Amino acid sequence: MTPSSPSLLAADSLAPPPPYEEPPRPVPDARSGAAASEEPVNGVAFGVATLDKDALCGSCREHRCCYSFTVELTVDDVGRIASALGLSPEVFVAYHEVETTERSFLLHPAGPRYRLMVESHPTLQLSQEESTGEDATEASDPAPAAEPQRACTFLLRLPGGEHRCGLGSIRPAICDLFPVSRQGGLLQLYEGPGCVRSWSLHELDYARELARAEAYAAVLARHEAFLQDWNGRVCAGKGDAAYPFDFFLDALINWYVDERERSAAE
Amino acid sequence: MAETRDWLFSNCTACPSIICCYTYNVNILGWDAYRIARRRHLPYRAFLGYVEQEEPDSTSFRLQVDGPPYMLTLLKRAAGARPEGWPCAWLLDLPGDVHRCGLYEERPLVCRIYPGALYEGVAQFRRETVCPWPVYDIGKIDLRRWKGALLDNRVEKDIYEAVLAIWNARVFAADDRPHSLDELFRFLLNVYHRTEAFRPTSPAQWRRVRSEWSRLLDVQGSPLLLAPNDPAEAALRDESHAALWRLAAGIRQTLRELAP
Repeated sequence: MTPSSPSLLAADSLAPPPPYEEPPRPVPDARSGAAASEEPVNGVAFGVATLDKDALCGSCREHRCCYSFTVELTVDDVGRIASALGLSPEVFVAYHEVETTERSFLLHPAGPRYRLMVESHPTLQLSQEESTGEDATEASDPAPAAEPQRACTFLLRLPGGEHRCGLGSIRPAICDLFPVSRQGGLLQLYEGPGCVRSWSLHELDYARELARAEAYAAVLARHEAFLQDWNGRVCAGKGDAAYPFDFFLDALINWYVDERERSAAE
Repeated sequence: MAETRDWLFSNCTACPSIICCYTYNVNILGWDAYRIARRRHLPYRAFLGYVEQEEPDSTSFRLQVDGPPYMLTLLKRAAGARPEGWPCAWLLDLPGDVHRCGLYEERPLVCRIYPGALYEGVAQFRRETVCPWPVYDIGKIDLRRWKGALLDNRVEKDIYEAVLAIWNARVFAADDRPHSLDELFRFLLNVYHRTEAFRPTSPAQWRRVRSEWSRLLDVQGSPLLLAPNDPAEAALRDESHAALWRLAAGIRQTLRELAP
């Protein structure tokens, strides 16, 4: 915060400002802040408070994960962001070559396979000071990406040093879920470089995270269905020329809109 | 999600200039600040600043008795200025010289209603804005939602004026001491936090409250300023106004407690 007027600066220096208090976090619903019972039963204090995951992430000022990871997008994410912000998908969608057939698409029957990602910012990187913060002293933790860590294109750096997602509630589903993921029906937490926090499932609202993870699995299934359809089109292609990526994105938006119509009709 | 798309978007996304995000100091209301802080998990000072005003108005605040009037604004980014000014700190620069607001659903009301205003209850486009005229066409927008935002803005501005009146009274009552911006932030946060419980819980209820609040502003003034035992206040207690009465009474009670 830079005071704009010198006179105010002078006035402020007369009396030291009182310490800033963190804003109280409103409790949106019963999921956080359940009161602990007075007496432990069976060795456990029931009703231990869970924490708001997003508020915890709010305490990570530079939003480290927005630099550490490339964010995978689904049909739902692209359609939602494009329609909500009135954006052409080309503006924010990138594609990276991958080895796996999982969630990947072709542009040519014999060509490489690609995966959809959020575009990264051309210039924004964690500064040297930021990227060698406390956890970087653990020398055994190499950065997950060998390349310089470029920010997500939607990351905003506010003047006071807080970094925030410019998408708010319409951010990609995988960002909503992080650091939780689901494997073999079990929830697990990300452990490793790229996040400054050590997470514990005890802190989080298990039922809520499970519901989120299951919703994400459904999103991925829809995404796979589209990619299968698309890859079938490519493999049945008449010409030898590769499909342009723009055409892929148009097909994606078509699929997204049709899918919405279908689900609205049901 | 198309239904949550902003009703002005087809016009604003077609605008190549985004001149408004550079030109204006976005004078936000207390409720805007509270919503942004809560939804984006930010302390107020991370995104709020203030500018000195030439002429005080109803949303001015002071930090000391003989000090100048200020208005609360969204911070600007200290890079990438254009001749019109610095960009809003929330302006996203996307590849291909595409720009979007990074606040989306949490956008301040003043941005939501821009470039419109209510004149005698009629929603109109302001002619004196920096928009490359004619960007707007009243036939192309969702007038119902836009008018809703204009009413939201009218009610929230009325509430904010009452809140700042108490803040300014506190500053004047402690005339030997200058106040800091952090103190104002703490005051605003406390007031909006305490009064949130009195707000309508359903969108339909809120729509009724804002229409009625706006009507009262036209006919007899703010529900927050009615004297106790005013016959108009008794009318407010009427069943059909229960939600409005609850909100107005809650705010008045909170402000009474905080008055110097």
